[in-house]
Amino acid sequence: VTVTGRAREQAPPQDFDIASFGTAESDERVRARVRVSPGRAASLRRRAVSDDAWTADEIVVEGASVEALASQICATGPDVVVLEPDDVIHAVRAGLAAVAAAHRSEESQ
Amino acid sequence: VTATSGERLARLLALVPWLVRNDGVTIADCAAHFNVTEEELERDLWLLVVCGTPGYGPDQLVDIDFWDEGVIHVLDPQTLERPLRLTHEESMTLLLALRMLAQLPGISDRDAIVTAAAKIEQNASEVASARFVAVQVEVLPEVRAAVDAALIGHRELALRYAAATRDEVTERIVEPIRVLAVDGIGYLEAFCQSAGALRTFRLDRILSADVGAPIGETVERPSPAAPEQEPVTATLRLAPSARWVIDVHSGTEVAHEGPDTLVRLPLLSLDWGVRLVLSLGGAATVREPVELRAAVADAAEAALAGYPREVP
Repeated sequence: VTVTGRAREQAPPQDFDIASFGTAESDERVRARVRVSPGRAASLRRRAVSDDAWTADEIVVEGASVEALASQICATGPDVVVLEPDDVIHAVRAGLAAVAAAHRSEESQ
Repeated sequence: VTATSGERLARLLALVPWLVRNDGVTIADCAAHFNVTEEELERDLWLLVVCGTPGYGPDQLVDIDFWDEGVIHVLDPQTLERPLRLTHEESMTLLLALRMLAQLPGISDRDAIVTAAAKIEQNASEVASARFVAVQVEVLPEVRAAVDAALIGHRELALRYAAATRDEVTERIVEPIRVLAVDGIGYLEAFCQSAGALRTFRLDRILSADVGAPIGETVERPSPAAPEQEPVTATLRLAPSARWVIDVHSGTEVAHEGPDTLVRLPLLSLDWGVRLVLSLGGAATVREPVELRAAVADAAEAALAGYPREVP
């Protein structure tokens, strides 16, 4: 952010609408295709963008970033396995590995 | 009638402009309009005539004549002849609350809310930002309609609900009681027939709702299930990146360890705790209870086992 003038010197763009700005979906959403255990991971299924998310074995989920999506997927534990893309797979594996390490090692007791 | 001094002040401020516009009104009619006794009204009037603007000389006081023939004339309203207006903040607060209310299901007089909101908006029109005040309660339209119908018609609701405690979709029959909004989230409070107890459901987690039989006509009611388990509390060590957990999940800080924070956190269930810790990707470590620590480790390892071994 760069200061270009004093407050109120700049008029907001004519087509600017703060109401839709706040809730607008960012264009850069991250998607991942995941395999889900039957009847499980309701929290992820309700956010799915693919069809028949409540019954399907494979669904497509969306997140604001790789990290945010990975966090949601990690939360579901063994109920969900990421099939693609690679960066989400890596992020999920890294998250799970960090949790496993922190909870198996003695020093963090 | 005993009223707080705040209520009395509001009445005193409303009294003068009303009397200016209703010159010659009788004490009895005025008392009836403000829903006070004639004695209370006279006490108010006696107080008003000794109120004024700084200086407080005779020509700086409110002057009201109310001792002739039981009628009231305002001789000098000082600065009080116009009704008080809402401040910008008051208008915005009211608008937000009304728009939130209008979005909730089970509101029987939505028109009155919309009209009231429109009036406030008009009043605050010189502050152009009034039109930016928008509220959206997250709830599926068909769920809103069903909850609406069930609440107004006193009928049962068959819910499919994404429960946070077990990350599963549960199905239950409930008797809706009321809808409330807390911190921008809408909730349905209902008697859950499966649990045999009062339950609160987040509106945005209700996946579907079907209106059923009128409440009280169900013949068969399953025996109440065992009461919910005692709340479990866990002690977690949070890295700075996971500090937000304290606020979002009502934790209590107990100690600091370097940059990390030790917190006590109420758990909705053990399973919920496992999912929370898993989602934090190593930024949170469970100290206690041991069952949670073991469950987290097991879940993380089981989840990792779903992927092929990484090639070094």
